[in-house]
Amino acid sequence: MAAFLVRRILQSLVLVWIVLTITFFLLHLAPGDPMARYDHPDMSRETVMRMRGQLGLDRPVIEQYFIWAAGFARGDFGVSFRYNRPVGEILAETIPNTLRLTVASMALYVVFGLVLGMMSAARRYSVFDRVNTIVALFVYSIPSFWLALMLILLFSLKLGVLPSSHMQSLDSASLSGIPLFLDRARHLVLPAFVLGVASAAGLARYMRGSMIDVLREDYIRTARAKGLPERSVLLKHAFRNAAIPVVTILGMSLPFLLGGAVIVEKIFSWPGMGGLMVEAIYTRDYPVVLAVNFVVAVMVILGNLLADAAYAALDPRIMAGGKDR
Amino acid sequence: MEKLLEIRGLTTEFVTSEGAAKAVDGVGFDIGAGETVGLVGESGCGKSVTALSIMRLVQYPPGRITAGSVTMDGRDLMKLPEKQMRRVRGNDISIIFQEPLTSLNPVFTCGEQIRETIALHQKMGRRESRLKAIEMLRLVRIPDPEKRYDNYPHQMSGGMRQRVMMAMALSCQPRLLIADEPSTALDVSVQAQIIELLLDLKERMGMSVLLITHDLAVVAQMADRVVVMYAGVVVEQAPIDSLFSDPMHPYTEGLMASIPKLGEHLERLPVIPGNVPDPLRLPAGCRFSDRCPKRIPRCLVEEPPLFSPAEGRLSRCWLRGGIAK
Amino acid sequence: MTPSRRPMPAAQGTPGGPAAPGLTEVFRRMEGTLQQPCRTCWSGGWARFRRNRTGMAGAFIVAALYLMAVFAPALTPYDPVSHGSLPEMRHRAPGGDHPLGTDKFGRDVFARVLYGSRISLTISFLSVTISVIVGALAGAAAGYAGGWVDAVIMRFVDALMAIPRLFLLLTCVALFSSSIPLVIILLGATSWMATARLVRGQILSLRRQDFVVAAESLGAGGRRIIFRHLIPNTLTVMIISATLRIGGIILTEASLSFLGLGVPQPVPSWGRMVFEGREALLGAWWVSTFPGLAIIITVIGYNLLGDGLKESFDPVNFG
Repeated sequence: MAAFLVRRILQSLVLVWIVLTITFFLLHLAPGDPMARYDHPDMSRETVMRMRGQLGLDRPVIEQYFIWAAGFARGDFGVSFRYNRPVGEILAETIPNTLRLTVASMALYVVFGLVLGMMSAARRYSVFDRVNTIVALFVYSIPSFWLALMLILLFSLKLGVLPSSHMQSLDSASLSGIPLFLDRARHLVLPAFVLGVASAAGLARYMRGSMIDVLREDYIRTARAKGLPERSVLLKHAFRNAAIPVVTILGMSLPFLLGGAVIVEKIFSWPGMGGLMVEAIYTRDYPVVLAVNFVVAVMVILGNLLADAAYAALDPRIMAGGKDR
Repeated sequence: MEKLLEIRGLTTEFVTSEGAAKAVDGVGFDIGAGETVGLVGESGCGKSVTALSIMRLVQYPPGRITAGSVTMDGRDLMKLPEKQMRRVRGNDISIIFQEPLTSLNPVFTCGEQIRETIALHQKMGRRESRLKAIEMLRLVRIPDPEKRYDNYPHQMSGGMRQRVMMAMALSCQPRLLIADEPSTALDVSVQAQIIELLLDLKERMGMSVLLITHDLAVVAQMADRVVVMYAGVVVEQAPIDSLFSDPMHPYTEGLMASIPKLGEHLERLPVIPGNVPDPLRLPAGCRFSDRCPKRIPRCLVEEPPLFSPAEGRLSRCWLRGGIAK
Repeated sequence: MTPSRRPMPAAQGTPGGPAAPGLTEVFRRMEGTLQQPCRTCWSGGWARFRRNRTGMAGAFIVAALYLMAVFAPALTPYDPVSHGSLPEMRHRAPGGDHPLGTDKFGRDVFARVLYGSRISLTISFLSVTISVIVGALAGAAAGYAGGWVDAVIMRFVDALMAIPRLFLLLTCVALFSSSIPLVIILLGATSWMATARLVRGQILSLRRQDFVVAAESLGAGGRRIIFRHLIPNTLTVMIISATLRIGGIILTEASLSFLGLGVPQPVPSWGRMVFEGREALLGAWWVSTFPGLAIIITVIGYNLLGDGLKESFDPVNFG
């Protein structure tokens, strides 16, 4: 197990390095002088000179690459034009917000996906299952921005029960403790729902497939033959086995969830990385664009690593490997 | 001898796209207390399905028990509500399957899988049931049972896994153990150990055994009485010695003849020509007629009932026609 | 066990794919355990497809959409681009002359949705073609060459897949300026990875199939094997993959347009239409709702079609 993890960590590092390289290439592939991207009339001369030196733009491309890569590895992503602050600082502020949203969405995603998937598998071919499949297909095809707007229309504008933007109410400076928590929770509902539940349909489909495969196995027959109640068979014996391959799906859905955050954060004015990215593009704030790109990729790679670790932890065939006959 | 189980007219169908196939068609026999009954026949004759039907483990779709009764303690198991049937499973009647690797849940330890049966039926706490489970492991002659309790199935050899299955099945002292090809999937040397263990346990616990196998040698070692099945029906029943010395059905005769005997000099091993009929396309008349070397015209037209050509013997053959059972 | 059912050892040990059991469980299903090319599938495939209700429904929807796009001028008298002349034409509710209402500039929503379909259908079709071709080439190269070529390509694929598609797209849009051809190329350039994986897996499993080994032993050269055996079998995978991915591409293009970074003005695009209707959401809900519904129907149509094709022609690889 340790060897497995070490191998995966090394692979992840390689991937991070490749992403770094890709980002560098994108910057230099694009038409125009790369330095022009980092130069902005509003920036002070000193900053420009410093960045020129830092990026080593008078040096050959190879050297630039190493300087630049080293910078990224340190967490030094340059300075943002718009905010005139180090990008690293801005990221440090926005990443937690995106994490809040992503974690909440993920929680909804996992719960809805697994539960619906299990129920569909247990009641295969029933009305519930068929309706679920149709609804899933429908939901799968909805653009997240449209869903978000429709929900805002219904819940915020027409019914007025849920807020339509920001992480917390404007007057929440006076709140703390439980009321603050509730206020934040209310603001989290719509964005997390759009991001999480809408994609849960896909997860449910995988879970259903996995459960159906597992329910066909011999050890399920044994469990029933022992006289275990059906609930135990499903929730204890089947679920643990069915959930294992689904863990890797969770890892795979990270890029999807994070990508979806772009739209959701923009619509709900959520101060996260997605919103930051979009703003940066509008304002041609390239340091931010490239930095966010990189950081998000690192988050995904990290998430996959965690998913693999979880997989290994859940499956005793990997964890308690080998045979000691 | 006191009767433990009485099976009458058991019929189990499997629904396929081409119609309903009767895997078990009106099967009936008795199992006495403390008796070992061998259920013999080639693959596809319906013996495993009979076993599963007794325990009501046939899953719909696609299989369904459509007729028959299985009486134990004066109750018809076929008519029991599911909740009560669950109390019978693993408790009064247990079953062990052919392939122990796939029949054990890979994500739980062997010990846990035994313990859960005990805790369920004997309403014991965790610690108590764990101790009892270790006792069971000792009973099936697994060395170092405390340590083996925490092993996962993939960490054990085939023979040991089968012992774990036995421990699991016997943990609640069932009155009937159904053993479906218990040694077939194992190495030859291990097979003997398992059969010997079965014999020993049977003596010690005084239970009845329904031994399902295609291997006549195993039957010879263990059974008191034999039921021979072919294409879903019983074709012969006899005490073990009589069966071997004087088979009363052409199919049984064919089976006996195809066992090579030490010291015998043969050019070719005799085989029964032809194949088991497709349950959807059964021949008119006797099911064995198209392969039977002794058939008479009547066999092709009318299916024979079970005759009783001698005390304690049954045969489904026109040639033994006498008193129909 | 017949050889064709053997799980692919390649998926476990090659430097190419993610070697650990974790991430590969699903990938194994995609690439490692691909079974024998479903040769019989193709022959009975069309008959099966005609009987497949999801597939036929999808085909019907897609065909209808294409027809509507082509015959748009015949279906509506209005111009999708020019503003309505009279102020009271603005934000009219659905009904009468304007079956789906008008937007804030007095433009007929139905006309805009109709002409918008031309953009969406064309862009998505071209993008998915690019993505599938690039993906197939990359996957085939990786699968056939093996060794370090395979390793490098697959690591590259893994890294690209780690960047969420929208982020990658946005980064590229920021660096290159936006135009229709660029959008098409970028959409294609950010979607080829999954196809590459699929095709690579297909090639790997096919290479080990008996019939390829037999061909090799009979002296058939590499190119011959590729053209006569591997390509026809991969073609089905490619087509099905394309149909299944086009829905995602449509959604991505719509997201891009919604953000204002996709198709430039004044070309009508469903995504941007939804965005434009955002301000008047409470008062004129139809401006955002109908383009959104158009997107949904189109994506559903392609997904149904893809599912139908998958079930009829190659349930084995896509199951």
